[in-house]
Amino acid sequence: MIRFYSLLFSFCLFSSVYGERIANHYQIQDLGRESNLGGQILIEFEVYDDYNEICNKEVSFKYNQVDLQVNCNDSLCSLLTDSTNFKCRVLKNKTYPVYIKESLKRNHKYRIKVFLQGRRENVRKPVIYVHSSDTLALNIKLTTPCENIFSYPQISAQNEWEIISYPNQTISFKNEDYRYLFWDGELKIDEFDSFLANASIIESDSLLSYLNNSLNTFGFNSQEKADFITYWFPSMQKYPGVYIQFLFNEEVHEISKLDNNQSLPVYQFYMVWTPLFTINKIESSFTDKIIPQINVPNDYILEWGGIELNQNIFENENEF
Amino acid sequence: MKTNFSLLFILLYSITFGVGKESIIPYEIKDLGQEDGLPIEECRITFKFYDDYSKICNTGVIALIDKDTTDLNCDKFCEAIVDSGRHQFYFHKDATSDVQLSSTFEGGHAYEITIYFQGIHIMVEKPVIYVHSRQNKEMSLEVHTPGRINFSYPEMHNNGWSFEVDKQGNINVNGENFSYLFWDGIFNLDVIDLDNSTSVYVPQSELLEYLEEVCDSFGFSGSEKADFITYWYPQMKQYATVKVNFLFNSQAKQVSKIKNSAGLPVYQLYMFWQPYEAKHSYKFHKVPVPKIPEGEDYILEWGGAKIS
Repeated sequence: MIRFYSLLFSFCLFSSVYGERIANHYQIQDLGRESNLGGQILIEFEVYDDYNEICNKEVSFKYNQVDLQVNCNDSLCSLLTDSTNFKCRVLKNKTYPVYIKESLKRNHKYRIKVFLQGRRENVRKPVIYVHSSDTLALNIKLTTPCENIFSYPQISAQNEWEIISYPNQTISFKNEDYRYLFWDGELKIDEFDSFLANASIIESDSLLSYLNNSLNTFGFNSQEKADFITYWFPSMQKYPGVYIQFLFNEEVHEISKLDNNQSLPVYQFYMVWTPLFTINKIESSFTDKIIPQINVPNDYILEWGGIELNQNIFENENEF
Repeated sequence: MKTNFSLLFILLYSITFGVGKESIIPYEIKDLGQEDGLPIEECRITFKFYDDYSKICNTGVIALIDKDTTDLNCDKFCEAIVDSGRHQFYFHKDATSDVQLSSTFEGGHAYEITIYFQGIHIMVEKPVIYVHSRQNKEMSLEVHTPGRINFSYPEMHNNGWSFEVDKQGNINVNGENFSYLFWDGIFNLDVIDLDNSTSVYVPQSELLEYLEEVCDSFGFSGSEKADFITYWYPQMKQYATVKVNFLFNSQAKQVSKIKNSAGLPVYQLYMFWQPYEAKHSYKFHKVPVPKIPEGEDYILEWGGAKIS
């Protein structure tokens, strides 16, 4: 028997849309003809997670919403199929599905390595305002697990801004004046099971007043409130309703922690939300989570940001 | 002659607007029955095209039948002779959504297909209006736009706001201070004339620097530039190349005309952009940017839209 190994191809497609990513990434190897397959095709899968560790036992294989009969152990998943035009989706919770489409030869054995990408969401528009009653030279250090960070003005390699803040809320950085410091980035969300665990449902008609009231309670001034509302509200109002969960202060530290050399108190307000597409009547329902009320001191730092969660991370994998 | 009128309304697709999804019926097929003299293996199809304003628009339509570009001879009326059987049609008209359909045609019959082109709607985002004044001033301002205003903040009344502005640019509306006045709106793309000859193709590696350069050249302050960059750049930077059209001042009036009670000059910068698949080589040619004159009070507005 002539046994030949050929790497058919490696395939990588990655596209990113703001707030939405689709990944497709696998390698297939033809391991040659096997004498005992009786006309069938044997496929062995090795599935790697976002940390490059094998996760065979945590994945499912589907075609047309139906589970494929795959036997998995710690090192491999095996599948016998009659289909020479093989298609399937490999799914794991909180990762992007990988779509496999291959023309296969009967009586051949194949090895497919699947590289799953953990779901990431954009942490958007965190902006940092500085309130100081005197002119202050300030160092602000950002600690975040986010990747692909863009900042404006540009943060240093040590994730620090050296600024001068003025009593009129102006921030001076390298001789240019700003109202806020900006950063955004991508957050792996597989460690954040609690997102939306205590979400409120807000119908579209009540959304603006809900945001206004929440921001007022937390202590935003009118300019900060306008920045928040004019950034988020237009993209939220188009849905019949939204799930919203706010994260406050220490709850935000897993996403963003801000330290400063003047020991100014730091207040943080993040909003995690996802659209509600249901066209039936939605009734707002509120959780009992209380919005902390800042007794605004003279000198403090305020940061707000948000994450629009891709809806289908909450879908049961059977719905893929 | 046996006449068989059957009307098929087929819901083919939905168009995604900036504000959600609306379903439309983009075409209608009428079987006009057997036509004398028409060979049994052929069909005659006449076409009517309507634009977004329900007006006949037979010119400027590109038609593909079974993936082949086809001249419909639209001098008098648009028409094609096809073999009997199933055919696919694709119609394109600039600034409208493409229409596709597929249907089976009986030999010897005449048909009439009516296509309803829908204008492409875009959300013009984040127009924000800043007021630069060297004295405290009470004034009012109105926005006149062919778009449908979707949201404003603080809330507009009678298309505008009355406010007091101070020397720091704080805009006080009903006792609350704002850095800017905000509105956004939904536009039919065909009301905005984007001159392709002035499109700028910007590679991702040059994008941030270029946007900063345009803002600086136009005369944005550091804060205004940060508002512009932090809104647009994160959306644009994920594409390898973007095609950008800037509308400055008089060109921007097709989007928004601002009238103000203080008679201040109004400077506007609108940016319309789309991801560009660089299948062909392109050159990154910058366009000239006008500059806000120094030493005067003025109003600045910027906004823009991503064109899908």
